[in-house]
Amino acid sequence: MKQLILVVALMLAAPVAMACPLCDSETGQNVCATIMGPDFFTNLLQMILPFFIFAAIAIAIHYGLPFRKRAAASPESQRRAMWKQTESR
Amino acid sequence: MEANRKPLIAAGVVPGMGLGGFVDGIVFHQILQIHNMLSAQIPNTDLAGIEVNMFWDGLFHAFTWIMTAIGLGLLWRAAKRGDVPWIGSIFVGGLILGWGIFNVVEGLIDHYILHVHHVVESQGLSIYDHMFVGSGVLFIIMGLFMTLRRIRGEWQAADDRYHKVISQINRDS
Repeated sequence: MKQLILVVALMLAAPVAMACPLCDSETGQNVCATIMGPDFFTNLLQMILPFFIFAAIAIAIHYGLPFRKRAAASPESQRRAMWKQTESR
Repeated sequence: MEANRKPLIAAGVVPGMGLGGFVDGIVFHQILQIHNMLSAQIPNTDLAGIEVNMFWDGLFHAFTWIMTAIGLGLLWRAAKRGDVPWIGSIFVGGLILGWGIFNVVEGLIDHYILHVHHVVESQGLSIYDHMFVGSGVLFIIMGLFMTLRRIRGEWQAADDRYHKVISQINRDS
């Protein structure tokens, strides 16, 4: 939710960029056309691809790998569950 | 009782990846200007090319900023847990591990697989790209050592805290 608000705020700030003196020139229009051209989503995917892997690694470290959760019934995991209960008190 | 390092490690790795991205973006893209995000596909030899690459650099920095901010949130949550050993070397090790992961993942994907840019764009795929990924491997090894090594007294401290809280719960009930 907070990320959505951030994205919306960034999009609302876009009209401020219209004050750019370069944007109204021929060069500026070429820049805009190149950015928003047919390769936009390809370039976006290329740029964002490593971040999907970063997120997967972060989730694996924070929550643990799926096959490790088979030990959920162990006494140690039960004690950890009690830890979490203490936080709510 | 086994101390739970995972939240603290994650709280180091995530901002470590973000800060690694900032080091790449600020040093290589902006200060040295030896490459940009898409400089292998869109040459930055004229003003239009530079402007287009700057746009994608900006988006890249936006994502690394978001990652760093999420890492700060993870650190806050880890600080509030009673089972996390609050040891500086584990957190710093996580930062270094995250930086190493960034160099390796971003280096392999963007420099070797997709060829969207290289460290020194004028030379294409070069020794500098190998050094970039190699430095990431070194950071990963260093980070794993710092985050996973046994620390004297860590388990005992976490165990003492655990028993103290449990005994208090038993008294209250």
